[in-house]
Parts: sequence; structure tokens; C-alpha cells
Amino acid sequence: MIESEEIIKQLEKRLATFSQDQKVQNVGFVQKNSDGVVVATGLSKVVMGEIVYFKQQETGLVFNLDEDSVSIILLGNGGKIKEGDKITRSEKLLTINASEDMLGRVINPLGLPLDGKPKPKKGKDMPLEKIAPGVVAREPVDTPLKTGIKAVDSMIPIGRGQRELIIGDRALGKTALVIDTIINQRISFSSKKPAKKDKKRVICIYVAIGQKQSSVARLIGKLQEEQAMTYTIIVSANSSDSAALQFLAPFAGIAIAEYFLEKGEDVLIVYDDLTKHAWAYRQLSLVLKRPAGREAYPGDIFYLHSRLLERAVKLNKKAGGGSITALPIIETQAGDISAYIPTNVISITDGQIYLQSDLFNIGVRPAINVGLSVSRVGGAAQTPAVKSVAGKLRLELAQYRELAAFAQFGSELDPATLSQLERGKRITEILKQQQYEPLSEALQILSIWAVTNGYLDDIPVSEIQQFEKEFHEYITTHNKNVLEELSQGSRPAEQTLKQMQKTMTDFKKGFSK
Amino acid sequence: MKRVVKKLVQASFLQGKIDKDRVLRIGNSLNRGQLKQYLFELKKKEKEQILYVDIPFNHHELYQKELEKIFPGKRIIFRRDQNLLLGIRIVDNDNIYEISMNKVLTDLVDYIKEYD
Repeated sequence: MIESEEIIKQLEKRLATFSQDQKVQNVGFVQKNSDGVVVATGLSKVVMGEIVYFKQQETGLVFNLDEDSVSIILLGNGGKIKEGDKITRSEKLLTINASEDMLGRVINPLGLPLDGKPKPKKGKDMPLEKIAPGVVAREPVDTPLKTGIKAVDSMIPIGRGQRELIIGDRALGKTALVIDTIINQRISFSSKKPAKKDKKRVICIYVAIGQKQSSVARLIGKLQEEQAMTYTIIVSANSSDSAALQFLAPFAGIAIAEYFLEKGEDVLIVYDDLTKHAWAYRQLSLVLKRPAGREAYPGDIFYLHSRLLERAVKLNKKAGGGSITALPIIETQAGDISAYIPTNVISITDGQIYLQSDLFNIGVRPAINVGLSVSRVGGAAQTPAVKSVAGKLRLELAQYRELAAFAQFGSELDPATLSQLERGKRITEILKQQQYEPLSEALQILSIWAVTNGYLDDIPVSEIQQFEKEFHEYITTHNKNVLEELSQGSRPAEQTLKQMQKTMTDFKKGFSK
Repeated sequence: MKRVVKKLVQASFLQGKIDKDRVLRIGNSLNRGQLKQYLFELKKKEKEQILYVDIPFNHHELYQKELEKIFPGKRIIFRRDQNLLLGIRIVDNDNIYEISMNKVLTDLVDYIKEYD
């Protein structure tokens, strides 16, 4: 209970700083209010992107400056705004107040809490629209962002500062992939010692655009269960929110990310998903009577996503040394990656992870099509340890896919081809992974080393998953120093490889029985 | 069409004031949609030519002369608004010049509300 004297002291302190600028107020009047857009007259001095206030405590964002009118998108309900109401300028562009207090919170694109807790403490006002850092401030991506997913970390490695698109039809595991990635960053927060570059903590921001509230609630529940909410911020604009809020959500997310970037932190931001973001922008543009282009999208739909994704960056030491890694998600229809929005975003990002329904249906989960997926950063975002074992993986899988097409004809095959097919089946099986079970780098290296060096050739395909699980438990209890060696990131030494071989041999004896 | 309507609006004014006969003549020759646009532009144009001065007490001729010097070519309409408490508010189309006790107090309240 704050005492009255304390309140008076605070008020006096506040009043002492009060000053009034005798500025001319430039006002407008509502001419039309429909579909979340207000057309106003007056406001002759207003600028693009400026916040304006209505009489009923509502706010709006200036979106169109026409010859005789100004179009404003409403950031609230707007039901009480009527014709003739006065509109005043704020002379400010749209910002969001970001602070450390936001970690673990669920907020809307205007910074208001959605989790029932008090408003986060005041920090710094970050602009939603901002020009991305220039070429001089950047440095090449060379630090891995570990997702904990074997298929991704071995063959489609993501680096800190990269933009990697996750694309596929509905319900194929796109969000599951990013949740596992967020959960895997828990490791970076567990160590109290100053971390090496690739073990530096990663703050996560999940931007939910046009999602069902139940889906977001389920995601929050899972992150809380896995103790991942402590370093995660959720920015949510649900399907019941206005198109304006859905449009602003990714920009709010990246503005918060830039707050942490300025402090030299590494940030991971997920946009789930940009397809709905494009729909929201299309809706706004059509209501504003902007010319419609292909598929009724406005002409600047590419620029919408390019300016958003360009803000993902890896800064050099002089500029602060932080990074923002972006994982945008795009939902395709019937696997069509050649549609308008998917091709736009593919051309912007530094690679894509393509999820396919055929693979999902036959039980390959995560359903990643390794042939169509790529990371343009590649090996630069892998530690030497992972590179040493994963090098052959892509090639062996590609060879397997080629041969599998012939094998279905049922013709007799030579032993070499048969063994390659068997190896391919085992590699496919080892790359399967349960949801919410991201693996550490050391365990991933062990699994991939085991399969590419033929240690699993004599294990039935149906028992591979069980074998892997038990082997991981075995090595954790019997030979933990191997895991510690592998987690250093350097190429495994001869001694370490010999230990791995011995452990595998010993384990296999027990497994066969 | 917009340009034509604007020209018609210009033509509706005689010596800086709306001419009733001209407005009626023009209005009778327009269809419903055009008439709507014409009236809107007419009101807008008239608003540009009027200066509203809100004061909390009865005005003095001195104010009229001073304001005519500062805002030449404008028709000045005085309105009494006791909510101002003290001071003056001048509304020139979409620009508002206000120095009043009411505004100071309102701004003060808003300033305190922002404090966290």
C-alpha cells in the first residue's frame, strides 16, 4: 500500500517536468467509417504512418494520403466512431515499448498484455517500421542456431542471422518444427558460465498471425511445460483481431527483437504465418481501394515481406555483435510452392525447409523433403563436429531416392544396390524424430555417425528408433565424456572416435540379447 | 468529374460569399451522386473561408479588427464557450490555435496519466 505522501511526492516530481508547447493543432473530421478504415477530411499536415487519436479513446494509423482525404486504419474496435467526430494528430509514428520485462509474456501488437498480468515495465520505444541495417554493419553468418532436429541440423543447417523459410501444407508440422527449435534454446540459458559464440543465449519471439486462440493457448502451455516461456515472448494477433492488428503483428515482433539486438543479444523470431499476414494486408489494401494486382494482392506485397525479413541480421562487433534469425512460415495449398506468395518469400529468404504431405502420411516426421530443402548458408553454420559426420548424409539419401524408384519394379538387384537401399532406409528411419524431443548436438552426431558408418546395417528398420533411444541412454550413463567431447564442436579426435566405436560394440552385444 | 464539381463550387461564390441563385441553378442540373459531391465540396470551401473564434465571454470589436489583420479574407464568427475558462480558441479550417486554461488542465491530466 503506497502511502498518500509517497503519491504526492511522485505527483510533484512529475508536475515539475511538465511543460506545454503552444503548437497549432491540426485536426480532421470523420467522413466515413467502414470495415475498420476511417476516411477523414482535414489533417492536411499529417504524415504517412502517423498515429492519430479519436474522441472515444481510439487510435488509428494513417495509411493513405489522398488529395482530399486521409484514410486511417483503426487499431481498436472503432464501433463508436461516427461521422463528424474530431481526429487529432499525435505527431508520432507507431512504436512499441520493449523491455526485458516482456520475457515470458503474451502481448498484442500494440504492446498490451493478453496473459492477464500487469502491463510490462516501461523500456524503450521501438519503431515498428525501420530501415534494415546496411551492408557495412553486417558480417557473414557463421554461428549455428541449433534446432535440435537431426534432419535440419545435419543437412539444412540454420545460422544465427539467417532467414530460413518453413513451407508446406496445413498440419504437416511447420509449427511443431519451430516449437522444437524454441525448446532447444533452453540449453543456452542453462549454463551460468560466459558462453562461446555458438552457445550464447538465444531469446525467442513467436509471432502468431491470424491463428486460432486455442492453438496459441496450446503452444503457450507446451512452452511453459518445457520451461521455455522464461526466454520467449509471444506476440499474438488472432483470427478474431482486426486485419490492422494482424498486419502489424510481425512488425511489432521484429521491433522487440531489435531492442534485444541493440544490447548485443541473439534473437530468434518466428512468423507464423506470413500467408495470413499477406491476406490481412490484401484486405486492408482492398478496403483502401488500392489497385489490385495478381490474386488481388496489392502491388507492394513483395516489399511488405522483403522489408520485414531484411531486418533479420547478423551484426559485426562494431555494430554490437547481436543477431536476429528469422523463421518465416508459409502455408501452401496442395503443395504448390510456385504460387505467388510462396515464390515471393522463397526468393527473399536464405533457404527453405519444405514439408511434404506424402512423407507425413507414410510416417516420415518431420516430413522434410531433403531434396527440395536448402540452406544457402550451408556448412558455414555448422560446427566441424557435425560437418564431419553429416557430409555424406545428403549424398547417400539422394542416391537412395534414385535407387528406390527402380526397386519398386521388383527386378533382381545386385548386392551393392541392395545394401545402398538398406542403408537409405536406415538413414530415413534415424532422421525421424518425436515432437517436443529436440536432441543435443552430441547425440545427433552419434546417431548420424552410427548410421553412416554401417553400425545399424544389421539392425531391423523397425527397431532403429528403439536402438537409438537405448544407445543414447547407454552412452549417457557409461561414457559421458564422449558426449562432452562432441559438444565442444571440434572435429572428433581419433581417441574419441575409438571410444565411440568401443561403446557402440559393447552396446550392440547387449541390444542383440 | 471531381474537377468539374470543384469548378462549379468556385463558380457558386460571388464576392467571397455563396450565391443562393447560382447554387440553386447548379444544383438543379446535377444528378443525385453529383449533387452529393457538389454539396460536400461546397461545405468544404465555405469552411475554408470561415474563422471560428471561441471565447468564454462576450467579444469586443477590438478582437474583430485584430483578427481581420491576422486572417485577411476570412469571415469571422465569434462563439461563446465557457468551458475554456480563460483564453481563446481559433479554428481556421483544420488548424486549431488554442491557449486556454481548459487546455492546460487537460494536458496536465494527460501528462500525469502517462506516468508509470
